[in-house]
Amino acid sequence: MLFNSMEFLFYFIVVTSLYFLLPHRFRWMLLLFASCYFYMAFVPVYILILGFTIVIDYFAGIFLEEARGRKRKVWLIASLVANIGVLAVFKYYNFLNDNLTTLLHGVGWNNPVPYLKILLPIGLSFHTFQAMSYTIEVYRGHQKAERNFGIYALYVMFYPQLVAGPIERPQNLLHQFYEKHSFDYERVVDGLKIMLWGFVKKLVIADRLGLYVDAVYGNADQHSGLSLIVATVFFAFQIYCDFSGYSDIAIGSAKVMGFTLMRNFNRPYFSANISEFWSRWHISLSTWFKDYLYISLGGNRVSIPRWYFNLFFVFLVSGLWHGANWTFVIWGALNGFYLVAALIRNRLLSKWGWKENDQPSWWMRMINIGITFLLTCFAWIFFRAADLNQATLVIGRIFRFEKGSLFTGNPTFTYSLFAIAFLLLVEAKEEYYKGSFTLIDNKSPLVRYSTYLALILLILLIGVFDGGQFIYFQF
Amino acid sequence: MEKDLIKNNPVQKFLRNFLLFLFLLVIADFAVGFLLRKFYFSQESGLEARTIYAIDKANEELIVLGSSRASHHYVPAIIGKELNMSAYNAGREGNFILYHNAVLQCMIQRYHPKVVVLDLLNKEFSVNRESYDRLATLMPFYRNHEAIRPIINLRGPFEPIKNLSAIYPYNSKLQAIAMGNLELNKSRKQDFGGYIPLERVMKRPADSVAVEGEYPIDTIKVEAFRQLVKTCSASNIRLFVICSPYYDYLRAEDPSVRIARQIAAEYSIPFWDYSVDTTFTGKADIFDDKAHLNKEGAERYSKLIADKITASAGSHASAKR
Repeated sequence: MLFNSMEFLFYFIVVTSLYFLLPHRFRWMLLLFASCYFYMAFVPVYILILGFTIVIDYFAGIFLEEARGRKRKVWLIASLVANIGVLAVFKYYNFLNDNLTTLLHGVGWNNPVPYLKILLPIGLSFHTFQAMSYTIEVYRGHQKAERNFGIYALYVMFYPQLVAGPIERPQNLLHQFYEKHSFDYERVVDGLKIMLWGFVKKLVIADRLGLYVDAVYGNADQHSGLSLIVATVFFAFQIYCDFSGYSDIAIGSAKVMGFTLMRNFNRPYFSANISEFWSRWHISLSTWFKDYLYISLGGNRVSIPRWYFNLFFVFLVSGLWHGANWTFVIWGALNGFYLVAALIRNRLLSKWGWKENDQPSWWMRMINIGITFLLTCFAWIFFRAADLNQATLVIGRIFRFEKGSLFTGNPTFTYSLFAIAFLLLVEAKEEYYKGSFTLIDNKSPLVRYSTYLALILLILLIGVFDGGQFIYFQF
Repeated sequence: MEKDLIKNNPVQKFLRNFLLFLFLLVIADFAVGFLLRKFYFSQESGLEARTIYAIDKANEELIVLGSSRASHHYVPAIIGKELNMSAYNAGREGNFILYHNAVLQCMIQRYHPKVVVLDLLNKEFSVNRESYDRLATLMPFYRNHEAIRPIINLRGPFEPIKNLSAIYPYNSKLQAIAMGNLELNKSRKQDFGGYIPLERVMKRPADSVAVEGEYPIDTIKVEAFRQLVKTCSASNIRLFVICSPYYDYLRAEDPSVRIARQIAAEYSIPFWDYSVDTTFTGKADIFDDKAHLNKEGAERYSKLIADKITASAGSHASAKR
């Protein structure tokens, strides 16, 4: 079920109403049933895969807690192998086989390994990572093993964040299923406001920009470098609003019922360097990789070359997490390269007396924000391109500076410009004037209600109602 | 005391404020929708104005239906003059058989044209979500044209609910409404009976193109075509189903064209396939792009079609005698 569908609107009203009507002891059952229904609305049979990892991790958690010595590690490895195994089969098998075919073809052999004709289960990378965080935390002793199978299943399947995050940690989410959430007027309204802004981001901005981006990237060879630059910039905003819009709807719908999910985005395009960008973009994944991979590799408590390797490797894996395609691997590698290059630059500059903590002037920060945005956009080319050939074609056209007209695809272009300007205005206000010029949180009911109305009318007027699913569902 | 309880009950407070907000939303939706409706139907230029004319005002004896290929290929002035009847080109770019059928169903509520020319595309009946999305073009007519509702409802099960909003039918049409009401773009004013001339010429030689083999057929679209054919037969409208020329040489018959030909034969409807006709196909100077004739090509083609309709009408009349 898509958040941007009428079905979800009815589903949300029914589930939330029942949630508050039911006695506390039955609420987790309702949420588990509702989450199963939510997931099965995509491809019903894939719930079996989810069920498989839930059973493995549930028992792994208990056995891990009860075991001593090496046996603990065995149970952890069993859980990780099961989760990564599912990912490997459903997400990476055909990719690996593809590469094997190319390799064997190079030496004149045919690849005898058959391909799998399967659809990637929606949100697989999200819920397997959330499940893995549970067993790792139990192993590390930060979390007690959950004995109630239903509650554990709900931790993995909680519908707001089941298919596209935020990827929660058990310490933050599990205990909330035991807490009694009463109907709190302020909290419910806050949740609905967050959801409303998520819908604006998805329907008015992301899907609108997507129309232009798809038209240009869908026929990249027919478009000028200028159109490809515009489409790439549009894509940067599209993917941000698509994914953060989803996160907002997830966080908002959970908040209405009393659950607090972690913040996933923090105005990433106002970052003045790549490191800051990654502390503001897909925070739940960045911190997952930091907590469970980067630190396990030694983090920065190693030699400097090893530290750089650790960072680069984490981003390489993060790229692969996004998709089984070399374009994602290069996207991850590029981001890793940016980060390592910035560290090397800082080390060199510090030798000349520059201090990393020096606050740059406002105009220097603006320039840095611009440069960071451009670097990010360059990396997005690989993320959006269908394959490496298309990515190189797009980059070639952009950097050859060939003359060519700008594809406008009226009225999409006009609406897209408006959408980006609107987003930047709202986010700049939040970034630099937080607490001033409040609209949606204004004390005056007149201003507040007018803002709600304006946002809903905006959705009705220029929202894209026939838009597709969320981009991150494919991961 | 009881009043205080209600005041402090968060559920009641929420429901009260929510209902108040809903009331304000309905009023705002109605007010903005009213303005949009007024300005939408007062457009004087552009594609939307042409659709309004086709559905609500057209009274010509000959009507052309189809996609962009129809709107660029059939010159009403030439066809009308040759056949000695008034003609209007109601083709609309980016639309498919569902749209053409909807326009015809609305038209016949007002009047019956004598002749309808339907230009059919290759892959007209292919499974394609976009053709349903494109029906959004017709949403401003949802409230006042009963015939259009079942066609728009094909977009999804929630269309009747969505169309309760007075704004929703005008979704994404704000710019078109503004342009259609302002004199910002004078070229939009030019209207040649719905026909839109193209000026460029092709710069590459024609290819020999293998038509995509069998593909999944959307039975809803086939049924829409059948309904259009039946409506014309029942209303005594002479229908001509035509595939106009493509620039490239297509090596096989398209499955949609084959199905349309069979249905047309069932109802004894003339079906003419010019998609690969050497009078036009491969001639770079008369094509704007691989799917559209330019002005010169359209004029030649319209003359040919008018002559053929005249000949067909003659044989039809003698057959009746």
